[in-house]
Amino acid sequence: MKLRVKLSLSLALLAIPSFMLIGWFRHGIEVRGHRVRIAERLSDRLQERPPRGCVMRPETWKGPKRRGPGGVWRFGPPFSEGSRRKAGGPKRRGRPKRRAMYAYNRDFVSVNPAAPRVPRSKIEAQEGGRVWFEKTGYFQRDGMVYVKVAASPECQYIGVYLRHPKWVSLDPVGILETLAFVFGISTLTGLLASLPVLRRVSRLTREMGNASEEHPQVPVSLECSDELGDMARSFNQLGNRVQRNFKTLARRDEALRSHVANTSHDLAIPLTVIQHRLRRALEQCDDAAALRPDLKAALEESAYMASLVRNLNVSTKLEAQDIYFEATSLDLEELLRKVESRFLALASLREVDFNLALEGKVCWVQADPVLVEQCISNLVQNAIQYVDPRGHVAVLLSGREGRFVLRVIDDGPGIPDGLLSQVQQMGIRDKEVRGRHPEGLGLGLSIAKQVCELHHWSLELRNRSPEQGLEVQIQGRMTRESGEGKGAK
Amino acid sequence: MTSSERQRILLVEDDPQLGQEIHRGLGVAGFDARWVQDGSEAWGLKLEDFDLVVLDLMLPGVHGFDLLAHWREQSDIPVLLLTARNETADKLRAFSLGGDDYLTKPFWPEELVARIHARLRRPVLARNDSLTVGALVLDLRGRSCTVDGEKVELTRVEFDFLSELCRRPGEAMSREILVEKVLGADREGNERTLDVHASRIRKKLKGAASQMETVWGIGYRIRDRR
Repeated sequence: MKLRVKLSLSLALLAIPSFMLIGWFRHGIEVRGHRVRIAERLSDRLQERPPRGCVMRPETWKGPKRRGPGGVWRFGPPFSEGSRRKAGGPKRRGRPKRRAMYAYNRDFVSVNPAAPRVPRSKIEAQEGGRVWFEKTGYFQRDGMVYVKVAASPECQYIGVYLRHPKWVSLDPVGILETLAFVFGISTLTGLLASLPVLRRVSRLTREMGNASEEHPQVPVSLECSDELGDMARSFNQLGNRVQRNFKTLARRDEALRSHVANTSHDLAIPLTVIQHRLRRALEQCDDAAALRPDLKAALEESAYMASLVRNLNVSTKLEAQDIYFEATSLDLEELLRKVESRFLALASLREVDFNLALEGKVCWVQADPVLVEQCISNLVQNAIQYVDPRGHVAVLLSGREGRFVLRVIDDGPGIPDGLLSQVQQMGIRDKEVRGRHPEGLGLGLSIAKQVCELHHWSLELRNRSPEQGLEVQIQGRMTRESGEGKGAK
Repeated sequence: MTSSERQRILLVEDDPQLGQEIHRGLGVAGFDARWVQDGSEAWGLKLEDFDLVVLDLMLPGVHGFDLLAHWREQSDIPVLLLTARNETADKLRAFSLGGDDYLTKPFWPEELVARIHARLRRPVLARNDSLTVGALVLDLRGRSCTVDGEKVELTRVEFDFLSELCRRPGEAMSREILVEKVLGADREGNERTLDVHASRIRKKLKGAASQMETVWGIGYRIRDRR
């Protein structure tokens, strides 16, 4: 749950009981005021004309036989049956059912046995008062109003039993004013309390979001001594740990890459020398010489090793594609001419007819030149190595409606249908791709697949009509297409 | 071919074994090559004396990129960079400094020679009205064809077909492209129709028919030799 919602709920949970408490308190004030008003009116009337019954019959007088004023209170009957003093039982007073008045002398002692006794402490506390109200019990909301009338010795005070009003009409404007005031105060307090917190939380969230990958830290200004400060400190500590681990990993990765690059570099030069010398030896060798097949085989192996060295370098690059993928504008036709020049010698060695068909246009794509060159090289090399001597390999490039289609076709044995889907799905780490040609499928195809995925190009393999070889097709988006000739480059 | 007629190549390569092999290979390919092993030595050379430079990047004395930048201040001679580092960043930097081509080791001798030939080939700026490929001569303006000086009667489609091939001698052209360019959308026909036209052209070319080759999986190509 969001902090804002939590704070709102907390505020509501605090506000509702507060409203109830204030309402109850306000109601109490209203009731008290109501009683006071009734008692004063009663007092005025009784003092103006003291009841004759109080003077004449104080021992039995229970008040006038008419309804009391106001309607909201009434004189009840003499105390109920339960309040009557039973023979031998304790003196109990019940709640009067109807109107009831009692005469008291100056010491607040009544000659009427039904009259409730008045506590001494209350008499002293209220001495000199014209009228006062006394609750009949701690948990009782009814009460007695005592009015000084001084009509006779036994009728110095008249005690009037008042029932608690069931409903007092409250002043709605007053209630609303009170509620509005309380609501205003609560809201203001809530806002004053929560806004700085919310502001800091928002700032902390923003700073965390903006924290760089290399330096995941929030500003020191956010590190106060409260819980949010603790959170900021924890984030910074976590950031430091992440940064340390990142640096360690980056160093390790760099060392590994450097190692692979150095190894590739160190291997590349002697391999080139070997290829050149083997080539020369083969040229100087007589066609009928027994050594010739061995020299050819050695040259083919050196070509395979050369491809392995390049693939090793490229696969390292692909492993770290986020860091090292560098796309640039690239002319696919020019790239294909380079690939052709690289493999013409191998094709000639294997007596394979290798041809390239271009449209003569400049075909621009946004791509990493090293990765794409290796991708296409792998497809061409696979094709040349898989076809039989005197076989054919052709590479065709065409561009239409903003898309290019590159096809590498051969008349080799193709790929068994069962293996074809497996080849399409395999990744660079699959065990199958580690096998060596001709037993394995080769690392080259999986690298080609990954390079195509990286450039959002499609790569499809399909067997051509039975016994007619394999077709590998790459399709992708061209960035722009120019007219004929290189002059447009 | 005398030494003065041969194209001159400056080879800057520090590895003695590889340098020796490349130097020898360039000589066999018909180039007049000079081999320098040190970057500092190459720094002072005048590039006007050469037609192309084959430059290794990791050199003692001066790095290949520094040499390239230095040379580009004074000359536009084609520079083919040779390196064992197959890095995109290096490749992009090489081109940004003015390098013309980039060859990564290991490579075959033929690959290097093919790249050098590609760089030394001068672009034809003037538009020719006639195309000559071996024994074949096409007059584009007059739309006529001769083989060894003897006129060959070609239909409009056959002439277009042959002229498309002769515009890019030695390069294979796909049937799809040829159908589009020769037969066009308004002319009825498909790849089989194209094969029929090719067969008729071969018959008409007689002695020069062998110049027109069928390329497996692609289409046709015209060679400048019989």
